[in-house]
Amino acid sequence: MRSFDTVRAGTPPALARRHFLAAAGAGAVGLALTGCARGSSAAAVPGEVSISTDNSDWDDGFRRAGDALQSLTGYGLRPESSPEAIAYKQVTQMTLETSRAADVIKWGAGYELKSLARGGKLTDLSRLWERYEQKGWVRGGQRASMSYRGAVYGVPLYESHYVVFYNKRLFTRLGLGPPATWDELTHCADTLKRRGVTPFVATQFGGWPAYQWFQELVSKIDPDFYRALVAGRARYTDEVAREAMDIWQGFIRKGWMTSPDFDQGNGAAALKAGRVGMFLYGTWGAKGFSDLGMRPGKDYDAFVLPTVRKTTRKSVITESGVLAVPLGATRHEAGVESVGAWLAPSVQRVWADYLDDGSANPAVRAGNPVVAEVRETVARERMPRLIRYGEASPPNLVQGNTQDLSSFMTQQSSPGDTLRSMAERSEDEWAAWKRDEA
Amino acid sequence: MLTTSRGRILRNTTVILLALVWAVPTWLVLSNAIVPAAEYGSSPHWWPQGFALFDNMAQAWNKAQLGPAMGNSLLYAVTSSLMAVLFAVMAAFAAVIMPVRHGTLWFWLIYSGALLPLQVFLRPLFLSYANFDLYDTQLGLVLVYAAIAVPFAFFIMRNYAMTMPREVVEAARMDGASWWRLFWQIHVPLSKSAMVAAFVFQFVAVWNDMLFGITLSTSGNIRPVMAALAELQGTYVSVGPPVVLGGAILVSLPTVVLFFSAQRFFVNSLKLTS
Amino acid sequence: MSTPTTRSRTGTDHESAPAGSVSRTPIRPSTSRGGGAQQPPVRERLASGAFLAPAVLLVGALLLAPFAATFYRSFFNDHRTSGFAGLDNYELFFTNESLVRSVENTLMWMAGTVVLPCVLGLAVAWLTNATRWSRLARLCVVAPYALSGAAVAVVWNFMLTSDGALNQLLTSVGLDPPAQGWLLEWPSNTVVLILANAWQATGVAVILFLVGLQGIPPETLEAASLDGAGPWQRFRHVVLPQLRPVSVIVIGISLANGLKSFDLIWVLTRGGPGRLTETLAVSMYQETFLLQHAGAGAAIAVVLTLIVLAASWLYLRRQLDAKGD
Repeated sequence: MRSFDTVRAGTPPALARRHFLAAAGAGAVGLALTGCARGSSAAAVPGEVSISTDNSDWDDGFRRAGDALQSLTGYGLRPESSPEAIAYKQVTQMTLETSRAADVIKWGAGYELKSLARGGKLTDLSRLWERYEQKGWVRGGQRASMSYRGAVYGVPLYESHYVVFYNKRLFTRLGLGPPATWDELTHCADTLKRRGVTPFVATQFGGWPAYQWFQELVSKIDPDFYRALVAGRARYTDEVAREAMDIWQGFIRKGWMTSPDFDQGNGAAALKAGRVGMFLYGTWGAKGFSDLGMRPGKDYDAFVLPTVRKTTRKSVITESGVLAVPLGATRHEAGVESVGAWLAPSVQRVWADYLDDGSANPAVRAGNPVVAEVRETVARERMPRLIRYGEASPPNLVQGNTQDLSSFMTQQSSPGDTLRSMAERSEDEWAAWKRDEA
Repeated sequence: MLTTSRGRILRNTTVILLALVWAVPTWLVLSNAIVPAAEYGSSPHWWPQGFALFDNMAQAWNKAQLGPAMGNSLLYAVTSSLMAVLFAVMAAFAAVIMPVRHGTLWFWLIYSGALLPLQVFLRPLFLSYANFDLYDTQLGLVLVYAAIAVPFAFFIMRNYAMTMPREVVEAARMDGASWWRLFWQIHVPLSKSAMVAAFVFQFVAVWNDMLFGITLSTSGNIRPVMAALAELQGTYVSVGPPVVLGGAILVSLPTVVLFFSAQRFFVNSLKLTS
Repeated sequence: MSTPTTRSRTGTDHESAPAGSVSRTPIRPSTSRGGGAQQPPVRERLASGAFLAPAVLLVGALLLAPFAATFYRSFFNDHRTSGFAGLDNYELFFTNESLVRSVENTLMWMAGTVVLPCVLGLAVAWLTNATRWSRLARLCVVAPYALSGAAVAVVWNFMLTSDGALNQLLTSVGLDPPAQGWLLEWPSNTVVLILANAWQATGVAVILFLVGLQGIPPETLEAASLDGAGPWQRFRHVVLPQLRPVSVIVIGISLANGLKSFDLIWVLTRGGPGRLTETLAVSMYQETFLLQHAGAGAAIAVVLTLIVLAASWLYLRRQLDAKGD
């Protein structure tokens, strides 16, 4: 602003202007060279471990969990969040190649973790995992999605299940209950639709949500097929996948699903307002309802989507974030120690309560009654926990197939064409993955 | 006279229609920034119920720590725009006034910087910044912003220099003035309106950058304001659109003020010189 | 305004200096560019080099060098242990359907960004230049330019989603909203994005054209009026030619920005649904950072750069030497 005032002031002699500009220029360069601050994130702060994440909503939670960690390890947590998920991925991958990595990083499970681990820049946490197993703080089934070539490279950050949230008051008013069978589900949808309520949230807004219904429908027809499909052992053009797409197409045609540009961020509010009846989402979505003042178990509740046929084995889609320790971390040992105490019940109590979601430690009960009930049902009925589609296959395959599914949701491509395209990509990307493994 | 009055009606209607169409999204920004965050449902408000603009701004300010971020951005926008304008006016002077060989080549060399897609720079810059210890430093951001600002500023300055009367320079040259003197005493004073214009455009561009802000910095004390705002937007679901919009309006204020004060200045200076 | 004083002062200061040797050195770039028969002395060339150096060094080190690295990278494949691939990455442009779509979108963006903000900007500047009340109208058009990307993203989401403001507006006046959302069908989604971009980008053009308009001496317009020229003729034959230096800037910048479009697409659709709204800049980002195909991404970046360079060169090569007045 200063420059305008001076220049606008009228007609100062050229010399004054010249001096001003020269001074401004020199000042600018001087300021730039001498007065510049350096980033605080890579600097080692005594008693703190830096953790980089892509979700600033969790910063407070990490600080609180860090306080609990401090009494176990002597180190608190200092979250450094990146504002955008894709920028976060890209920057984190690049920092691993440099000496600027944070002490602990948040990452995705499954193939997300595998593709990062095979760069050889992550710490092998297998010993630590064994200690966790001895203490009973992890389940055996979790190991596969945390490891690459037999070694463990991550510790689960949380454990969410994909469930259908519903507006309990609305359901009661319409004489509906949580559906236990497929017929009951379609009955609920039908009733809601007739009352002018859109039965299901389904969207491709934001990209990844496009696979939510796909993973759900395929696994509710045949969980074993889902496992084989994401592992590259079955084909997208097979009968089960086709049936899933046809059911989905039917739902869309009946007007049972929201428009594909629906913002899931508004899902909780739309459910509260009674504009949608059921919201397929991770249990981490419970926090959104609480934030809106809805009471768990009274105003909203959740159920695991029933299987399409009664004889099919029940299953649930499960998602876990991952904490990993870069080999080049500034405070490597402190990072490993913190991750080694992460699943301790005293830490998980604080953390799960903050998230309003499930802890990865099976011994820690969720604070939110709706989430706790879901987790108990899953345990009681021994439902297999299937890894979420987003982390179940090589990242490029997931990325491309998710785009195909969003084309399908916007009716730009037919079920058959969509599946053929997905099948083709599956072959290509699995070949590429195996080539790079060799 | 019938035609002129009809022409005036036509013109006025066009102006009003255009303004209305343009105002709709802007109005939505305003009205939804005013809605109290707790009142906001799941769809945009055409009319704000209640007035909570300042609450929303305050919440954005605290949550995204906009204060330090705005300080950072002010530093980046001022220093790198000043650097860029100075370098650009020097280069334009050399390319247009001085007897330089391959003037066109120099033009394209510098201007091509404005033609490259910004995403190209991210990875190479990140890796070399990490090597030279510029990653996550204020100096690093000042340098990259100055670099992306130079080509456009150069384009404006060069274009402006082409329209300047040459007789002045030729006469002074004949009188034996050094290039350095010529530059400071004749060229810079004559170019000042264009320099202010270039400064303002670059200031706005740097202020509004997010791409480099989120790639080349991670720390709160380095992060520019758009990165801080993006973080707020990332928590959109929990804070709600009114707070994001309140924050967005808040961080736009400096550019709005700068722009409108400078707009008056553009006009004044042009009137004086012409 | 300070021209005469400055000249007289330099004149008196250096009256005694020998003028001969200096006056022979060509001042105008056109003569020096002519053929190089008359080479400027080394000292002069060093001086001009010193003036060019800061800009060239900064641009060279921070922009051109990374681009050179990208160019080099485009000849290597994307296997985990990357090997030389020749032109394989460039073959994508012939085999990959979404990349072809991306080129189409990029060209649409280029056309839309050159035509819309420039024409609308000129129209708004010209129409609101005369009357006082229309300043308010101008403010409406210019304001979005200063708005940050976050607000633009939020508000266009408000506008364009199926349950959004635009459809509410249409329904309230008794019109039917489109069956599919505004951003879901090609090519209308790209068109809608271009319009949304014009909403923000027109402000700059208005300001620049306004500066140009106010530089036109009123006497020339009055003279044209007296000669019996109507408003359209005055605009066509007096105003437009005088606006040339400004329009070179506006069009030159719009051309480059249109071809490089990224921000608005990224925040509103991420290139989707599917890959329908991708432009080359978005495709490049997708390949490089989402799919970790650095080589393919580099090839797209190189092609995009060539297109931007070629388009800018075609437009600017004639305009650059014009003196503008």
